[in-house]
Amino acid sequence: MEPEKLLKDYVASIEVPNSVKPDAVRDMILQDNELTAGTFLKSLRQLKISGSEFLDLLGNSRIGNSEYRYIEENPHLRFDELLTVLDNSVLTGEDYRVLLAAATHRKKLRDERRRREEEAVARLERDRAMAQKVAEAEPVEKVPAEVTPTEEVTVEELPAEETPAEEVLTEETPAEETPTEEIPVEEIPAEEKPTEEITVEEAPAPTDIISEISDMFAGAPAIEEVPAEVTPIEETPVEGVPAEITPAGAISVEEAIAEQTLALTDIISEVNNMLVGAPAVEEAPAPVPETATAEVTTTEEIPAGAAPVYTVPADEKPAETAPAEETPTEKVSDTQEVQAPAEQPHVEEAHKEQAPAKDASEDSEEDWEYEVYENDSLYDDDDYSAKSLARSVGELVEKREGRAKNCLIAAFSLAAAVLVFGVGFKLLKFYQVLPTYTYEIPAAPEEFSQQITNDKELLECARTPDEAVSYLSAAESPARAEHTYEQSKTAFSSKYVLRVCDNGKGKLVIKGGSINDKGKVESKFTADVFDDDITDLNIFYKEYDGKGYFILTAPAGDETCVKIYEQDALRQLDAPTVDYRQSGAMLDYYIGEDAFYPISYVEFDVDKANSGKPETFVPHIYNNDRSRAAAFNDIVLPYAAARLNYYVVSRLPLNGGNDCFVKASAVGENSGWAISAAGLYTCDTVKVNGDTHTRLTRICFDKSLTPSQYDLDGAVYPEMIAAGETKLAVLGKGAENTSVLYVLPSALSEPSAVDNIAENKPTADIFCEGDILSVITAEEKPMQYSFDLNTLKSCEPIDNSLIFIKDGLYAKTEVKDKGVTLSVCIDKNTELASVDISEEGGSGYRLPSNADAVVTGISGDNVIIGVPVVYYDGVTDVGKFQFYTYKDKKLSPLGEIIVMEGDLSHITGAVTDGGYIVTVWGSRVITADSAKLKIISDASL
Amino acid sequence: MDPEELNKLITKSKGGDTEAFISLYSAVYRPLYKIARFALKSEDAAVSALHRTVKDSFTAIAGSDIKGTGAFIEWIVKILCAKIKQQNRLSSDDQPKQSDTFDMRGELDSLPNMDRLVLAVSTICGTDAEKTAKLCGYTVNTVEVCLNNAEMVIQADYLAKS
Repeated sequence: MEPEKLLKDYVASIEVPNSVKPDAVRDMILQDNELTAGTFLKSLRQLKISGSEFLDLLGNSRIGNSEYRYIEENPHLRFDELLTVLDNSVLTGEDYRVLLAAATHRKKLRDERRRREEEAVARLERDRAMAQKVAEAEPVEKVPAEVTPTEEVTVEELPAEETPAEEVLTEETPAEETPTEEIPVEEIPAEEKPTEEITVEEAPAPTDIISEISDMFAGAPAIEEVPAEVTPIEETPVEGVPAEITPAGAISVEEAIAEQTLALTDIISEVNNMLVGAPAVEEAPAPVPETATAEVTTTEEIPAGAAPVYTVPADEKPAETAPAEETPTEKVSDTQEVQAPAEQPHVEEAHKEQAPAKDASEDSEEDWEYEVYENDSLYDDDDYSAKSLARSVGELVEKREGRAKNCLIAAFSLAAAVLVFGVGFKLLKFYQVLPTYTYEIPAAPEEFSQQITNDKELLECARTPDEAVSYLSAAESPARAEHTYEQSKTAFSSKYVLRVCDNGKGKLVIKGGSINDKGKVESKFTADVFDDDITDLNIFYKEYDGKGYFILTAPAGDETCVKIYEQDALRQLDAPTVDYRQSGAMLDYYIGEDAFYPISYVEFDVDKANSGKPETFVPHIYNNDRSRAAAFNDIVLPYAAARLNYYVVSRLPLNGGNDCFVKASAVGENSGWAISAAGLYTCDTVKVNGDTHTRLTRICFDKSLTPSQYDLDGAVYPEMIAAGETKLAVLGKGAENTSVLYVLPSALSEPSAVDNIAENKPTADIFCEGDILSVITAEEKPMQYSFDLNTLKSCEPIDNSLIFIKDGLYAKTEVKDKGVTLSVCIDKNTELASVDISEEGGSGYRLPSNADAVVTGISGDNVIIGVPVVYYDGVTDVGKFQFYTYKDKKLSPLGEIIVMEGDLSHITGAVTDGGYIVTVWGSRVITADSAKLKIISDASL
Repeated sequence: MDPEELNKLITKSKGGDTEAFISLYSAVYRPLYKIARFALKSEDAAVSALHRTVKDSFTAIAGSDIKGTGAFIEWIVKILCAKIKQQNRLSSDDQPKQSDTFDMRGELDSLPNMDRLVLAVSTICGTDAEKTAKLCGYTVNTVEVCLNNAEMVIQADYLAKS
């Protein structure tokens, strides 16, 4: 029978299931139950993403170079054509989800920018009109009350429902008492912000009281007395900018998002220039009266962090700042009294600036700030608020309207003092100075000490934690640092090539092949060595004492499993040299010269802990058929114990034996970790009697896992810990909420402290290469700062793209237009040879995504370097492994291995000790000789 | 369904008429599913690929440049082929079970994904290598090699096992 007939018979036999029949798909096509390329594009279209934004988004995704270029070079692709391109790319639903989230965020920023620009334009127009009026103004006395522009501004600025109140106020105010109501709100000098602070709090309530206070106390300032320095609009907190980088009231806020606010800044400059140039606003403010001076003193005692409370832009609340008539000088003075020096606080935690920022911009309708405000308990039941105080003073003034002006000034001064006290008190609470003493210190504070001499006492401390012990809140500090370690799914030895893969039933196993003396892959095998409950599997290879060992790690439940096999034993499924489990999910690992060190983290539930069963509250291990809990001597205690959380590290000798050691660093809720060849470092911050302490612990990767500790006063950020070659760096809180970098020797002793790290910008990440620390800022456009931990000075960043070949020789790849450049260098500045790997007229080459893609090795006298590239040949993706030899400062092509189709997402390889080149393309293994790159075998594992 | 009626349905579908699109789909879903099932190793994968094809083609038809019935079929088969390739990338490359007797499904599963897709389109659509290449997004040479390879493997196994 012909194959054609067989195929037709088979096609005829295919039954169409009900789930694809028209009735079944009718509802499905309208549902958004799955994010496909089509729904993704449709959603983007709804977001009105521009072409350049779309390309920008794609450029940051996993999409291949060829697809990206195709889209870039064909800007007029139809929807269905774009759909096909995306379908043919590696992007999945999860990628689309991430891209959509990014696009949504961009849209939000764009809308916000547009809104701000519109506001700025409106403000500009209003200011122009005001300036014109000021310039053309007749003497104040001649301005009829019924044409007061204040009323107009009020109608514009206040919500509709508040307008009637203002109208009533205006009607009730005798015309002769409000001769200068036309002073534009925007022209109130910056020094008058406290008055507006009052009005901000007052905003939801009728504004008449405030207006009356102003009228009675200060009188209307003459137009000539309004200073030229109009409150800059730049002080308006900008939505979308992280509060950490918003030094309240500083123009740098605008700089931080300069690209978003360029137009706005121009407009602002124009406004300022115009107003400065206005003839009516040239004179300086009048001198401060005595009462004012006294209150200035009070105000200056407010902590620096309180400053933002007062930095309300004048233009935010125009209506409430209606000037009074008689004593303009005193009016200006009064506002200066409450003005706190607007220092720029360097606050790391978002909320610490967001709260004041919110206060300052309460009426700016910025939702995120409202959220912050609502989440903040600072003003929840604010008896001390400016609102209530102003209302009280207003009532007082109403009752005693006829009294002498001096009495009223005194009353206002008193109110302002109380206001300052109230706000200051709240701020002290907010910055956890007062609350600490109020809520956390026992009635009779005593020096804190814990006596923990065995694991049961540790459990007791966790069960009934001392009232004096507490942890930073989630807003102050993340609970625990999260990192991911580098995955390893392929391993090579001179005799074997192994890869982690699915066995077809959803279980991860090792598939391998042995490489014979002629470089041919043969005798394929599968090693299924873990229980069914493993969720991941990694494999490493290490040689020690003339033998090769495969190290297999797998998380299973709440344990980390490690098995170490002598290389032949894995193939033959003989017993491993090490069969080990330890509590907790694996965080990272270190491969020493003769041992493997798995690191895990585990938390125990106090309620389930049983003092008679140490394994319920102390990390346990299972080693070669023996299970035991870690001994108390193996637990490194925290500064103050109140939790049962541990970082666990074990030393597992590659060649087996029973000399496995374990150590556990007990920590609380705010902990972080880092590793280097020197050991595992942990940091643990705890508050004791309101004071913050951090214990740094090192567990050395030596034969007995020797621990050492050092205590710092103050908090460190759990995720900001980096281990260098000989130093440890942690970023902590400094004075006035700045950040301080503590640098300690690896043995943990007296630290050096460096402040003004990364210009005190909020930090997203720190990491070390050697002893060079890199600090990445948390900005829209992150910056990298580098420090030499030995000299504590800025330095050139380390180039971590160098690929080790042998001592003093590195390879480096750089993706360029349509190609990749391979260089051989001594360091990042000293290049010895380079070669371009590029394609003429094609879509361009790209490197596969896996970090271990580039292969380096030595065969005889030659250094061999292999660079895998992937490209689109117009039909399909093609993978190519281009090999070069390096000798006498020259890179010479050795040859190439090309693979069409197949899994090109992970390409790697090795040069084996036997002098063979082994390349792995997903499940496919191709070997070649290293002299001429002649293919020896092509097998599938 | 005559071509004129199909053309009307295409026009209506471009305007977002769900029922018109379903009617169009009714005319083509059987061969589409057969291509998907032929080219993919499991029924679930075939259903999933077809579902995503229907969903995305409904989304995309409004902005498409389809003129005529033939163009519609080509257009939707192209989308299906892209989805099949995508599904193949997502699926694990399980090795098929070896059987002593000839089983067409088993034979197809033993073929590379690319060969199976080419063979599916070629067999079910009855297209020549050039058209198949266009539908699948491969070159004509690739399609010819795939077809030769697939037919040889199937014939050899058939002769060996029957």
